[in-house]
Amino acid sequence: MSDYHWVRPANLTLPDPDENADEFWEGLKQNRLLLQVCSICSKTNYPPMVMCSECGGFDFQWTESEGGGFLYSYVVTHQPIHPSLVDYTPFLTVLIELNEGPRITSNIINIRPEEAEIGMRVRLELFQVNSEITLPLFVRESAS
Amino acid sequence: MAFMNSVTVAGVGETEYSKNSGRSELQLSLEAINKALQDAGIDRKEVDGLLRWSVDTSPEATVAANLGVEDLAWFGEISQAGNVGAALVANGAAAIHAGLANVVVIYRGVNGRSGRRYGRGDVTGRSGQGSAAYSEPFGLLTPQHGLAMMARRRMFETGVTSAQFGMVAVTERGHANRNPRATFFDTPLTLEDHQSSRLIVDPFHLFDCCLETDGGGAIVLTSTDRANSRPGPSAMIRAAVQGGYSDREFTDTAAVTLSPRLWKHAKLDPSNIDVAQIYDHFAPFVVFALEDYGFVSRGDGGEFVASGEITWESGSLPVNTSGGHLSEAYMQGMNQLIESVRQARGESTSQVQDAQFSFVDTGIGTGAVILESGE
Repeated sequence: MSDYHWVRPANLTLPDPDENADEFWEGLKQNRLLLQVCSICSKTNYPPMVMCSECGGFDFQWTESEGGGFLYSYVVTHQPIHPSLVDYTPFLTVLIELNEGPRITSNIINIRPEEAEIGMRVRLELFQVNSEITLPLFVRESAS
Repeated sequence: MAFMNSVTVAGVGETEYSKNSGRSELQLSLEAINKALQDAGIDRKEVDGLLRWSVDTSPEATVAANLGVEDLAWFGEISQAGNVGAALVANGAAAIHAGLANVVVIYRGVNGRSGRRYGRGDVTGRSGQGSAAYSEPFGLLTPQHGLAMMARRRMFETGVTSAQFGMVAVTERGHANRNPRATFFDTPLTLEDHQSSRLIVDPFHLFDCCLETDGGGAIVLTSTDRANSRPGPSAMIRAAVQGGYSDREFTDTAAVTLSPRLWKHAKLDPSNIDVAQIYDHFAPFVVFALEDYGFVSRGDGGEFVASGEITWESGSLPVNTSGGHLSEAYMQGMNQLIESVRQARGESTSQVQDAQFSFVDTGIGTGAVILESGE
């Protein structure tokens, strides 16, 4: 197991969420990753939508993800092409496929970039940035 | 079928390509427009249509005033980013086909190196707003981040390799070395150079990435009847289509949904195409476009490139014959539209002999044009 612990770049962009996703961001503050589910046809969306593209409905419920998934794809930023990344490269960004189906862009915080491997199992680890923003991040599951 | 050669690209014009133009984006556009109109043999005052990328900074009315336009009848921008060149051609050709305009100019002037630089998120960063709330906080800050994520997964699924992507860059550099206008005219590139170049956003190496360029370009559309007064071979618009969104798999490009429309309107299939310009913001996407337009089967694009099939003049489908965005200039598709016209007219520095059908994609499925060479 790696004892490496990733450090989030201090000035990396924070979400500036719109009103349609209040439940999602409030849920994270309460340590829950909420997925938007259509009240009519049960289609699950991430990110949240305004209208259900499957059935046209506007009513949604929110269900808590159990937090498991696998690494679907990843990139490693080597060039600090944005000022916020200076001093933090190489920098791993991942796309996780949740067990519920949706794919979510995130970071894995307990591996080095070179350890990333498509298919590796991960689980949710919420990361509180400040009193207003908590982000859904992930850790590699132990091999046991 | 929509146009079927009723509209022609009657003129093309461009400035020099550089790292520091020393003049405004508006001036770059106007210089290019003047050249394109001279090429077409059309007076500035007769322009009645102006179209631009929404990311272009020179408003149509300002351009019209500088040109001395008498009556601007058709104008507009198409939103998104650099990827709308072919969509603008489709829009302008539709206006002419419908009789709503007679002479439509499409222009792009950009100080992409000395001014705002795409590669640094200066233009595209969205401060975590809208859908960016779900990507930027995790480090996906520029267009190449999202594209690299897709490329990585597609490498996993199809087995295509970085070295095969590298052969796109090497091939295009060879074409640029024949084109005196190209940024990298004097500089060769080997596969070893590509593979040893630094990683920018893994899996993209430095030489997978397009240039950042200062320059201007313009093309003039008019009816084929009118354009025929210009001497020499012409570039008739056989088909032009656009695509702005499609519901597709993560590893598909938009060409998967756009290409059936293109081939249907053109009444052609990929085997008819003699030469292709493909939007190479990043080299891997040339491979993906070859597959998703149906030039080769999914998974075969890497070998197609590596075996020399996109190389002028021996390959079966020479691609990006001016050097493309990787080695000529990054004019967001404008320089590739211009090169596609040159090929249809027989004027390229890497001319495909007897090219009848010249294909250009300006955004990996966000728009494409097929030009037919006419007398």
